[in-house]
Amino acid sequence: MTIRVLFFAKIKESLGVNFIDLKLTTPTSIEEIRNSLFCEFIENKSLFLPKNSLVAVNQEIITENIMINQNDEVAFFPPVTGG
Amino acid sequence: MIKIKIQNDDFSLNDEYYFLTKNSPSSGAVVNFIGRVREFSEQDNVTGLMLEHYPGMTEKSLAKIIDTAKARWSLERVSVIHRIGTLTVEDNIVYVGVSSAHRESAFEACRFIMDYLKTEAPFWKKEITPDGEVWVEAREKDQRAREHWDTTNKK
Repeated sequence: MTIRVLFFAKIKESLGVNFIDLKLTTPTSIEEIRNSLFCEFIENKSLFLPKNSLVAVNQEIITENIMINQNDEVAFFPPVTGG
Repeated sequence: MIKIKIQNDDFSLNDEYYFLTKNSPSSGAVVNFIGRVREFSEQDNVTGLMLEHYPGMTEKSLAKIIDTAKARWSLERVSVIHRIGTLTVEDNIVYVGVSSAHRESAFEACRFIMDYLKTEAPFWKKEITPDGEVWVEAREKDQRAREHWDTTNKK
């Protein structure tokens, strides 16, 4: 299956793309997606380390390694700094 | 009643006060918080900010924070407005307004909403200085302010 991973803020700017489509086996997990991102963006690997990124699935921040299915909306972004 | 807005334009305190109080005789207290662009932060000489967000998730996240506040305190109305795009020093960034029967609930809920907004709502700031642009790093202090609510006795 193909999972689209959205990027925001510093991660988006550093990679120069808004998203990537990853080809993964079904079902997959957040950690598997993170490992794929490490491989795809080896030069910018540190952006995806847990201390530098939050993960949202279907627009909710997720802190556990949950399973991801075909139609889930996945996003990686830096810790938030609004307000 | 709840109002959540993400917008480029500035907001009007008069309009928000009207929203919080019109035909609401039980609202005995109104608390407004406004966050503004400051001239110093992690960088000196900040001349402005660029604010990005995650459309869709931002609104969901703010709605969840407000729902949690409404479950914790007895509130009449809540309005949250966050600006995005390019802002300059002294511009308004964020508005949180709460009306309630009594001031304790209004003060506490306003602060609670801001503390959660700063740590959970998907906004990101980039500071503009004469030497270039720098993404703002998340602060431990903001995380502690949010965690304070986990240990504060629920009203």
